[in-house]
Amino acid sequence: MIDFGSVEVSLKLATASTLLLLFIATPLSWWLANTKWRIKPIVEAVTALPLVLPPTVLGFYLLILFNPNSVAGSLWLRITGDTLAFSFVGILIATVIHSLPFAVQPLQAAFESVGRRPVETAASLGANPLDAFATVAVPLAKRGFLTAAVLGFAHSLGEFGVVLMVGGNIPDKTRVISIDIYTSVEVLDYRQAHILSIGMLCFSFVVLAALFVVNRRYSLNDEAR
Amino acid sequence: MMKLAKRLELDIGIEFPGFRLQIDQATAIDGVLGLFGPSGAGKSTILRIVAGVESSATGKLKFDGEVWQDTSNHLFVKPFKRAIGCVFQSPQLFPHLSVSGNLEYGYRRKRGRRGPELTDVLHAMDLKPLLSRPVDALSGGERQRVALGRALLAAPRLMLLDEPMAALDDARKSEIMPYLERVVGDFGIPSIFVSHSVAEVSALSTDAWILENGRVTGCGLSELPSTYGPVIRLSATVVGESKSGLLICRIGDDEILAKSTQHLERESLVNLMLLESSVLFAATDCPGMPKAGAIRGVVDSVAQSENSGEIRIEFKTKGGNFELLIPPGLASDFEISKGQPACAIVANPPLAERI
Repeated sequence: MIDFGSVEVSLKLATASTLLLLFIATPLSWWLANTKWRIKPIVEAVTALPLVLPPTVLGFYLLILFNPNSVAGSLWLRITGDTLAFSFVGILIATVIHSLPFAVQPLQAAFESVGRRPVETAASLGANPLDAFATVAVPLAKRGFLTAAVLGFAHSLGEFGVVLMVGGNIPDKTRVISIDIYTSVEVLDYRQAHILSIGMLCFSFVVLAALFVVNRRYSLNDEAR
Repeated sequence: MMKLAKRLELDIGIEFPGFRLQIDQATAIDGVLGLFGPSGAGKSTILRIVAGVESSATGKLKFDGEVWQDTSNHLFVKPFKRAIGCVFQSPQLFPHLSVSGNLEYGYRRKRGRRGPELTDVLHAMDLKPLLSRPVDALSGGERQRVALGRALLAAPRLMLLDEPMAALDDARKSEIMPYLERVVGDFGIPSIFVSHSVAEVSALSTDAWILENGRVTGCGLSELPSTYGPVIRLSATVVGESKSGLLICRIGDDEILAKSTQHLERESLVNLMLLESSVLFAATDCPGMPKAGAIRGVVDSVAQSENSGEIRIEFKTKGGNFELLIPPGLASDFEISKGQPACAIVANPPLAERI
């Protein structure tokens, strides 16, 4: 009997994480693309840390942070009556942090290539900064948004180390696809592992291929201009 | 249209590595203020400061009685509240919007200011045939017209034109010129125009600042030619005003369109100052030429330089004599002899000043 509980958890996690990622990464990338502050490289390094840091290290610190005896953990427990560690919200926070560079970097690159000029032009036509951002910068950076969303979603869907550290392996709650595959192999349920693995492989390939096709079409359009 | 002079007061400085700009200058803009100078003189920087996008500039900036920047009082009016129309070398049209989307962008955001009407702008800039076209299907000149129309529709109090013709070839330049003139002529919007071309500045402007190394080294259109290139002075009589607002001046039987910053009555005697580089010599009496635009006369003397091979012609007209040099390469094609009728074609309206 194949159990698709982990697929549901993973899809829920990846969807919520993608929405949160775009919400956080959009202002952060815009700021990074435009700031002249000296602390910019520091912020960039912090944002990029999850790319190089072993997921277990990130997971370990988050676990300490989520501990009901810590400030953040106890505050969360008092407000919601639930612990952050070993909960869906806990793995969601961990996933968002771990996937942040996958959303920030393409968005920052897109905003940088849009440049200041279109926004300054919009301002000269009477658009306030938020208006200019929404009506000029965002539409011009749509390719960056697409890449950020796709990479963020795909990366969240394949999350393993951080989730295992922070969320454990609770069926229908924190057991995601990759953990399910790992567990299935451990108990020699190769059928479950095969089905989930081939699903992940196909999905990842299709998503990336689609992204490259769309990006190619955009760049051909840009060249035609 | 009635034009009211708007006062621009600048007491402002900015520093970049290797460049310092310090301007303390005030002027009433009644038409177009030309900023002229070599590249790197600080012309575009001044425009960026006035537009409010050069955040590191310090000092005081006032336009039409409104303080836009006063660093000592921590006052800075945000660019989108200044109501400035900008047209730059590259038209900066929004590629994700259609031509009409671009035109509407500023029109929808003019915050109740009264400005040019949509139909007037469409007509003046000949935009109707372009409305349904995508932005990337427009030529360079068409893009610039859309950019001008878009800026006008946002009801600007001041227009900043930064080398709007620099990216166009000569034919396109002369196409866009009338549209630039209409910005001030039809809509009465005071403008600052930046160029490194004397011809462009003198053709469009009613006043000028000459810039060098971040400083204003001269003011007024009459400074332009004498500072930048040899000038020919001829005497003429004012006989009227053209539809485009230029003076009609008569030399002998010929008429020349000229501009002036002074108020000149009919029959006033004036000095016309022509840039030597904007005068073309023709070794005929130009039978096909219309009456306006050419000065007819006779060749008084011809001399060829031994070293350089260029030909020096003394040209006699009813407005006075002047010398013209014909470069050695071209000189061999000319058959010029003393006493033959010839004419000088004036490519740009010269400046007229009361004698």
